[in-house]
Amino acid sequence: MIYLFGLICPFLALASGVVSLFGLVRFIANSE
Amino acid sequence: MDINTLDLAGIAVYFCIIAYLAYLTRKTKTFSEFSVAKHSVPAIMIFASLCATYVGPGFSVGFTSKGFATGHLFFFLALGFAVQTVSVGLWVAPKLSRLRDCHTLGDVMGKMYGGTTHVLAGVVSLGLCIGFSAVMAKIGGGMLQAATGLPLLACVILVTFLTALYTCTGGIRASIATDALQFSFFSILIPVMLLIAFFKNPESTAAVSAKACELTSAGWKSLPGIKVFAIALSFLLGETLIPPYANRALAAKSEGESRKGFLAAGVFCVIWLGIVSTLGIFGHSFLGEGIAPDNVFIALGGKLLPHGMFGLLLAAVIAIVMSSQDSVMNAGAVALVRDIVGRFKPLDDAAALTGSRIATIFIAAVATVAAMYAPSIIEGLLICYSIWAPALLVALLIGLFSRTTVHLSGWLSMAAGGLVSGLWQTVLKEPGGIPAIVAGIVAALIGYGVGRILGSESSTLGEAAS
Repeated sequence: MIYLFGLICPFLALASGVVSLFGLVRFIANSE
Repeated sequence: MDINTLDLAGIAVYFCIIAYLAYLTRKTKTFSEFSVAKHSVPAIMIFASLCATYVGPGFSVGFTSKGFATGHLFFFLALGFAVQTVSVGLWVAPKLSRLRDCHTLGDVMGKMYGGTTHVLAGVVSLGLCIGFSAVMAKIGGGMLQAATGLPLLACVILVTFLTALYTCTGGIRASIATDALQFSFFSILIPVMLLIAFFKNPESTAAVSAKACELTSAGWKSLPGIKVFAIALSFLLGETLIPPYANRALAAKSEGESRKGFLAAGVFCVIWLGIVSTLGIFGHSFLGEGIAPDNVFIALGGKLLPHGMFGLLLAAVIAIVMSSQDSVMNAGAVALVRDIVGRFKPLDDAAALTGSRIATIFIAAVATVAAMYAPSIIEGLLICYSIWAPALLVALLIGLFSRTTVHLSGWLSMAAGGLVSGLWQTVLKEPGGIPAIVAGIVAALIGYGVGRILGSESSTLGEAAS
């Protein structure tokens, strides 16, 4: 459980954050 | 709090980036753009914005505190929220996205059940949004005060009116764009903090696992069964389709984009709750047992992160607050103009847009006053949450899945559910330990059934949404 929550989940959340940043850039570019 | 110039610079950088993003998204020409971004939001932005909205202080600082005190107990209890988000994504959000002429949940209710239900839905939505916004103002202002030492009133005004400024100019598009940035910000920084804790942990992983089991087991035994049921149920239903979530479903580019956004947000909820509750468990290794659970999140940040990054963590906490607050401010403003004012005095597009901007500032002002001078604001919000599901969900869900809807059943269900739930909690004090939300839902179902039998006027919106 600690490996899952302490090691794997943080990397999944990091990936979500990075993907969202790219999504935001596209969203702003399409809005302009 | 041990803060130096680098930390303050981190907070300042965050505010500058938000201000720049607000500037980029400031142009809004129509009410449809302000309220539902012309139904053009892609799945990734629905996902990021939903996550940024539901991850408030409770789902971050609060869950770390619970993790410190009761291990993974609240992680399991709150899984209902993830189940609810996934279920909404599978069955309800696509139906809402199909209603292209609706701007608010009140609009949807009004189309199914007529004008009275439309106004009632608007009033409940507005109350919830103002209460939520006030709680966020109080927490965000308190965090900024702790970080900068400025007077509380100045901090509450800074956080609330900066949020109101970009929400007022850019509407839901600015809210969603800043949400995505704020989401990226905290979903990178807080997991990095957990990874540092994992690798720098002075104890073995086996010892931390044993501590997690011990805390979870003790926490489980300390709660009576009915209390566990009530907490799990409030996570499952309390926030279902509250106005900011429903507005994101209405703003989605298509049914598919809406479905994908909600499903991803539900899955992320599991990941996120695992992270923040585990941070609390690591608190025992780094901070010892003497610390108050509510202080664990910030104290752990101070212990693990270097100066500058700690400032960014404080900015991330403010981001968590602002990203929830902007969503409810926008949803509340649109509900006030569309569901309440618009029902009594029809407004053209320009007037509705101007009205929504003024309403955003009005909500910010009321939230600021309530945050400063209403000591029981959190209790008030909890009552709003217990009223939400009985008052709106029953009629909304039955209506969306029915071929025809009877007008009387809509407002009778809302009135019965809302009143019984409110009285059950405030006057009767939840007799027999039965949660107010359960009593309210039963009353709403009875009200709905009675209305169905006695009512005559009906609509067929369900067919359009099904």
